[in-house]
Amino acid sequence: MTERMRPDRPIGPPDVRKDVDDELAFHLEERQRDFAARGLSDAEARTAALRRFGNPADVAAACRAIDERWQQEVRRASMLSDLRQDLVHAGRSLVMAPAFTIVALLTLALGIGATTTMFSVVNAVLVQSLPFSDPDRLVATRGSLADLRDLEAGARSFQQMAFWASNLFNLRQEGGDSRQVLGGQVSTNLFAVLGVQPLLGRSFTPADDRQNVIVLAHPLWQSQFGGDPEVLGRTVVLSGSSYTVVGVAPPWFRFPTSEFQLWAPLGILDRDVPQQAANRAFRIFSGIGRLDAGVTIEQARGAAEAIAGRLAREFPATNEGISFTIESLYDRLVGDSRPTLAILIGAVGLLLLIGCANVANLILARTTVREREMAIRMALGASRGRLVRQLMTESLMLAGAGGLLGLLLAGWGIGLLPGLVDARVPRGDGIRIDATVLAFSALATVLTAIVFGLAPALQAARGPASALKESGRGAGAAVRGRRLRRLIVIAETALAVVVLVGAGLLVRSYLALTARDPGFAPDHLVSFNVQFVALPDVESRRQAASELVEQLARIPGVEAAGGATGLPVVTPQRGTRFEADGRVLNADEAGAWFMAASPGYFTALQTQVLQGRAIDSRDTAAAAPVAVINAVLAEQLFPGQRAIGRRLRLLDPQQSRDWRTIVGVVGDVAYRGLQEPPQPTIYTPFAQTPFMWLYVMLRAPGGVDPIARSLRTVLPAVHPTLTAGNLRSMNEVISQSVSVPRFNMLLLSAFAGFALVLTAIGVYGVIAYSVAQRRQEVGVRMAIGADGFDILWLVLKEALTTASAGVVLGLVAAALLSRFMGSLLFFVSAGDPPTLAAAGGALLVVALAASAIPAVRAMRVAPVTALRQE
Amino acid sequence: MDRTTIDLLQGTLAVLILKALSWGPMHGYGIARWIEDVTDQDLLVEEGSLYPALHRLEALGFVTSAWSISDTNRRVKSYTITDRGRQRLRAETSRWDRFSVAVSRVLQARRPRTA
Repeated sequence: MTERMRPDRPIGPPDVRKDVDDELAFHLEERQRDFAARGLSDAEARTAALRRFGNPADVAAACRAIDERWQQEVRRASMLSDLRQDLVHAGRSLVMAPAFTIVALLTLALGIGATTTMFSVVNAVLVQSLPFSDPDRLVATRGSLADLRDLEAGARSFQQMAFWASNLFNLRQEGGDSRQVLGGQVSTNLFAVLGVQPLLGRSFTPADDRQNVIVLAHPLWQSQFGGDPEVLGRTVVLSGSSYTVVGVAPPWFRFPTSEFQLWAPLGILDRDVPQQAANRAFRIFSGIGRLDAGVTIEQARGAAEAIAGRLAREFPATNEGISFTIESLYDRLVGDSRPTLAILIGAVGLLLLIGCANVANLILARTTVREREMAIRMALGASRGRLVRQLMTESLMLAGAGGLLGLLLAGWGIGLLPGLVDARVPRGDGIRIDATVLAFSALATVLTAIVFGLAPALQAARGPASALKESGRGAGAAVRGRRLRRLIVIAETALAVVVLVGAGLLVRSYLALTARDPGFAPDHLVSFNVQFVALPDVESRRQAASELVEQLARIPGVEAAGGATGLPVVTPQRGTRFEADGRVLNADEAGAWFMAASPGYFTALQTQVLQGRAIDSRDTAAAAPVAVINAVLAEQLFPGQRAIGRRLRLLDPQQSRDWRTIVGVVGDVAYRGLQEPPQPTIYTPFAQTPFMWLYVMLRAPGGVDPIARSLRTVLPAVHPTLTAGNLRSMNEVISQSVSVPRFNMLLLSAFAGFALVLTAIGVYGVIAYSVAQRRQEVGVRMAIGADGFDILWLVLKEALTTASAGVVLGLVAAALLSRFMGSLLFFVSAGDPPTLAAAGGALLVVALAASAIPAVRAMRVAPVTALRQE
Repeated sequence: MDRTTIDLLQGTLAVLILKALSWGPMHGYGIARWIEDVTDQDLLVEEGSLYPALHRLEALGFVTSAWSISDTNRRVKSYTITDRGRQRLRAETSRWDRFSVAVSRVLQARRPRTA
């Protein structure tokens, strides 16, 4: 062994192929040399050496295979050990800065938790498919029952069609109180078309069509029947008639929304109120169809259009200009919750970004402190990539822990989501943490780590030389760090402005909505509904209604009593076509809401009678047919003229087509939500146009409770089948009608509050740090004669310029983004200048407030100490 | 030359290599030559299997290698036994001793007495 040992290839991965070839070649040469030394010729020696060795190519391949596998293992082991090192190091440095870790962790947990919670709703509504069999082939439409039946008969695009209408029932169990529930009157094949099996009992069979049977929704079964498995066969009273329970729907089943508590056969309408089922103007029915294989929704639309055209020619009085709107069942059920969800998840995502900005700022503040540690490690041979990786590991660890905490928060938050959010979720148990939500949460966590961790990591590992050279304060690195932090705060401010503008718009919209005059005085107004369905004929219903109103007015504490077939703010019940004496109305003028009202109705509502008189006891069935119209209709029909004495007649086939004399004009009452402008409305005397139900209004300063007690004796006295449904104050009715906008507004306001707090923290951090950095400068300025206010202004100016930049950016973004909120806004435009100004102003104020403490601290700097430091 | 070729038991080559290296670092050809010398060429190592065995030993951590330049100006890979390699050699040696004693005892055994 005579070789001089000296290193040949110091660093870098080995070249396995060359090494093996060299090694084997050396062996063969040495062997050849030995043979040659024994007297063989070069050629002979070479052949002998090769013979002795075997096939060099095979040996080389075997060696290479071994080496390569070995190298792989070595690499894997070193990666694992690096990772372990990084994790240990990251864990240690997080534990060693508990304040930082806790603040960052809470910020991230809240951000990721809120985002995950919101996404679980999005997942349930927009991602999961409808819980029905082959849901993509289900389409929905609306119309009158007769039209829908013609559509079913004529269109070959559908395998099956099912129909339903919603109906309010007064539900009473044997010996119990009555409560109002929303139910569906459905064709007996509805469950079959949806492909849904009941949990208990059976769904409807064709034989049930005209029978008094019901299927209970799971929540109603739980709340009213205690989840009793023996419920099948039990009898309940619905609006005065007895029904038998034949089935219970599975817990997740809700159709068309979660508000539906039971289903009864549609055929009962054919049986009890055939005029409704046959009335083509009575477009309160919905249909769903299952498209035939290979039929597109466009083809189905084409077929439906042809049928609508035929019906319009056959029944011009009711069907002229009427067509079927065919949309996918998915769009019908959840389509309109899309914008709300998009805005809420967008807002929550912005909040998470703002949280990221704060965490990034915290990390930057720390990396400035740790800069020397990084520099030393780099000088000792750690590569830039290795340091970035270590810092990213720290960020990922932080985000991972935040994500796990956030997931716990989300699990808890999902339980808190009020019924409001999930009313439109097509599957009852749809809001849950499933694989999709978990994947989203994991993705959010990793993205979060990258967003808040990358810039600080790159910043920290810039290079050893610069950092080591800079020993003093205010050196280049620190200035660059400060600039980056300012940029982050500017971005954060901009994001907060966007959230704030969104919340502000919803608040303005909500305030405008609730400030609207509903056209009646809701205070001290109590309402309930009664159903006359169980009464045998029109005459007895007329009788019962008029006696009811008289009796109610006599209840002590009731100042006025009346009723109508529509419930203000909630439902106008129906529209009708009509014609007016001496005026040809074009198509869009010829429709109005139409309600039958009892004497005392407008007195109870305190709706002003503007001309003539209200409906009163003169207007009996035998008296001359009259009508009262609202101001909008009066202005539309007889602009600038007296309406009293003019005539109109309803074209609703269900009602008499008598010409009615207009005897009064009353103020406009909001019947469908506070957001809709008042619609033309016609009131007729209930006695002349009796209905199956009445929404009673009582002016009763004593409130709901005394009324409830009185009703227990008053109602049975009028007729034993009468019960009061949904007894509540009108303020409650109004409050409920704006519950969705209120919920959106409160949620977004809470988000905005969070955004403001986070931004305040961000601004404070940057300004406080900047003041600490500029102590020397402040000292110099004070030494050459600057007073406290100059210094105060110096600091506040920095805060203001930073915040202003953010505000300007944010306002531009908000102006662009708020357009997407249009569908959530009432009476306020998306780019509403006062809202934009208020949001911008609020952030400037918050930025100033957040920098007040550092500013005051700067004022108190003693010039001498500041100058002495370094 | 009259030579006995002994079919090496699996793993025996590894022991021979470790033994060769126990005297000091060597390159592959040196190991082959050493085995030839000490066995008077009774034991003919198949040179082809020597190198995979060496590489396997290195991957297992029983030997390490280093490159140097020979006086013929060639890159030479020489192997050094590690502490683990020495441990392994000791274990194999004692195992071999026990094995050969046992086998010798069997081969020298007398015919058993029948009852």
